[in-house]
Amino acid sequence: VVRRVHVADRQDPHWREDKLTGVEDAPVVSVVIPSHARPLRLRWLLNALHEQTLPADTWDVVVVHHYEPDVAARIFDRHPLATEGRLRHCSSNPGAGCPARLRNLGWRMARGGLVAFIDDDCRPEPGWLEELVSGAEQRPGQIIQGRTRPDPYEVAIFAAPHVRTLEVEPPGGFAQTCNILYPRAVLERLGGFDERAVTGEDIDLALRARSEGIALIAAPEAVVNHAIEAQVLWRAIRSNWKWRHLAYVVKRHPEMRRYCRLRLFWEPEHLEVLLAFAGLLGVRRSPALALLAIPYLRREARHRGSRPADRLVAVAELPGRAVFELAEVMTMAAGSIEHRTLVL
Amino acid sequence: VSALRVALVHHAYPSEPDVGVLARALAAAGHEPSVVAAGLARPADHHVRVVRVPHLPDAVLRVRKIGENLSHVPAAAVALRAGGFDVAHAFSPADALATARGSVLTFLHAIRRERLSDRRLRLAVLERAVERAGALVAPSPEVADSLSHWLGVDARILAAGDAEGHVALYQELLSATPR
Repeated sequence: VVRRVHVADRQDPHWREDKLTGVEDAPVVSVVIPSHARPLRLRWLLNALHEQTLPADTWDVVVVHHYEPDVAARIFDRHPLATEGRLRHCSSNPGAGCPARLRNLGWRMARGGLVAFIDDDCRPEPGWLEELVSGAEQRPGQIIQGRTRPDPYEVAIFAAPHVRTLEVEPPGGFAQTCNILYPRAVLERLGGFDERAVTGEDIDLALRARSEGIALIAAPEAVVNHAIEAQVLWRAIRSNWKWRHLAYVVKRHPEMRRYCRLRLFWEPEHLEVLLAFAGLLGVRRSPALALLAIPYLRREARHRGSRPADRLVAVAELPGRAVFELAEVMTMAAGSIEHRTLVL
Repeated sequence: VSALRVALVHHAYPSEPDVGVLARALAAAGHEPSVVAAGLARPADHHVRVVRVPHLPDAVLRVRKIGENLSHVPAAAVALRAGGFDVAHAFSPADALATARGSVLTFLHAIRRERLSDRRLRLAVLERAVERAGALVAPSPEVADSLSHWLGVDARILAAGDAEGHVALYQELLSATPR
């Protein structure tokens, strides 16, 4: 059964359609997934959700995405979650919003008293949702964060010089939305994600929750496997460009600087690569300045391991990685200018 | 139906029996199949015409976990263009990279999640192959079910020896594609 529903955001001029394959009773928990440009991985995520051990009548799924109708039909229409009436999805214009907006649309459509967030490049283990809900039952009113690890199916991709993945041991201060559960009441009280935060909206929400006395509780048995994606250098640099907006979140929450080296550098590598770059520039004037490069070179020489073959690979990858890390520093510098707070 | 010149593209022919079975069935039905395969000549199959194409050294692709069975693609693409075939039919996503848009792609085996993205280019190759294929074929309902489950796509179920079914599919694609 497919029927149209009306949500608070339908006034959005970019709103195209929304669909509901509905169960009549409200579920205990709704899983909210924002999705963009990953139709196959989204399908795999839905398959993994279909294998969850939590009783089927206690949860449903809401997907907010940017897909054209034919792609959406291929992903959703005959998926078992849809035919069982446990999947709702809606499409939004690709230019209409950041992940925060998609997540806000998603949780506002959710009917569960609990809202579990996961990303479209993740694959939960079968007991994931059950563990999150169990955590929420033990600590009602709190935020429950599960464990995220690089997907064991994809570890071979670490052979690439530039990879994108995520590892989170809960409770982690950044409260990533790839594996976290909020009580719906908390989301309503806080007004959801800050849509001005293009990135880091998950950190912002968790910090606002903490300021209201809501704790972040670890549920290490709630395991999500995060995709490992290889990227060529220019694409890695381009996809990191959005992280300049992290400066906005740091400006809003100065306490985030405690995660920064010298309260200034978001990653330790950023400080080290800048020192190495400065040493390289100054080596003609004073050879001793070459010593500035030692911390960076030591780290890079070891990043593949200690065998001679690993060291050789590390040396071969050094120029590309240095360019990538310098580009990250430039990205953060651009964000610092844009948002008028210095964080590198 | 006039005789069709069909290129069956498989990097490791004759390791997959289905390719040879289809080639012989098409030949018996009066068509002109050729298998485009990678590597050096192997013991001849007198019933099947085989076009061997060179492949580039692929040790780096394997060791650096970039992908498998990709090194023959450039030469296979050239052979397909030069061969004057009516239809190209690939038997793996990597083989499909050598074919033109709108060709046939058969998945010989059921898809398993753990093998869908275990190499750097695997997912990109799979997405491109499926998006460009004119038709997907599965030799069994089990394979078709796995394609539906993991890729959300429908595949036509055709046994390898079903020359009539394959020819009907080729004709369908040819009539839909301006030549």
